[in-house]
Amino acid sequence: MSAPALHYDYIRPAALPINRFLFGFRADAELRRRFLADPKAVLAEFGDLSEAARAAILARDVAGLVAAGAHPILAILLRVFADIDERPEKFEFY
Amino acid sequence: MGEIVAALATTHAPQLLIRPKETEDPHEVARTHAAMRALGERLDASGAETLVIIGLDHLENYLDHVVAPFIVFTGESVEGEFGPYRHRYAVDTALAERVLHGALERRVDLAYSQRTVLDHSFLIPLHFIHPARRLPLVPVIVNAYVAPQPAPRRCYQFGQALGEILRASGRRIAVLASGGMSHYPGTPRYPKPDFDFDRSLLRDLERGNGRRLVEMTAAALDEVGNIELRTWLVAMGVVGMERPATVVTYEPCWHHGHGVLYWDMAPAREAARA
Repeated sequence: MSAPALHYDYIRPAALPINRFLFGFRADAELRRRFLADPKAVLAEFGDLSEAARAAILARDVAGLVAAGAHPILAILLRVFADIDERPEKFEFY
Repeated sequence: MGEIVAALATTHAPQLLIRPKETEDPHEVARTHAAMRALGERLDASGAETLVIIGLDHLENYLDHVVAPFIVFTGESVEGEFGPYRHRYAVDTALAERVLHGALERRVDLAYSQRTVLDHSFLIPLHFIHPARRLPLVPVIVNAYVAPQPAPRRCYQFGQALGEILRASGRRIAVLASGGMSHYPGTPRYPKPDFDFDRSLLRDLERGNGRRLVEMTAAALDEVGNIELRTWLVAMGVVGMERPATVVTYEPCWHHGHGVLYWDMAPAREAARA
């Protein structure tokens, strides 16, 4: 019997493109601003993303992102940072 | 001789700083804020000159360039960032360098960085526990999120080495660990934290049975949603796993068990004076 999969595992080289995109989405406010204004145009700049990754990014679908290779933390942070930028009125800032 | 004058541990969930109004109960959040502020009062009363803060990285710095088990930040000052929040903190570089060299001498291959932006695991506890940003920091970053992470026992051993170094430093030092408790962000188990584990572990920590956490495997820690307790394990290495913890609050919410506690350092201080 194999051990159950870890929730927070190693990132394999094949999964780097989607994770690099998500990493940049958080780190680069200008990329985030451009993506939120025109997501498809920005994704076109990332030629190494799979179709599944593109679809999950556009849908901001956490489970889909993880299925496409995203680390779960980067997947959920896409939604968190997109929401905070787009709809700040939905949040209370302490 | 140096002295550990305060030892604190807290949750750091993003929702505590930037609360989504639709999903997070403001009263729940306020109770955790109050517990963190109580840690702040202990910190202020401790006479600490430096704050060693042990946090982690939610893949905001280290993804594909390098991922190290333990990193000490040795630059002159450090930025912390989360959403619209951005602060600069002074760093106790002399002590950070002592930690770096001292760890290597004690057979812990500690990495160092002079270019890291501290993430919300640092910014959020500091926001509530030390809003004055008066104390210089020694930031320590533990790899919690990308396998293979350091085993719980290894985190504890690093903490033991850290404790020796800090006590030999001549400084009055506070230690603050940021992480936990059970949560599974980004996974299907997100709405189902393991509150039973958390409560049972807290009872053990109150009784001075930190050994239970030290002896867990990395896989077991992942299974109960407590990969971030690696930061607490480092602090436990500093204070000793048999030192009873005092739980300030345990506040379960729909996705996270918010634990806030401290270890009373007064007995050690009295012993040191005797």
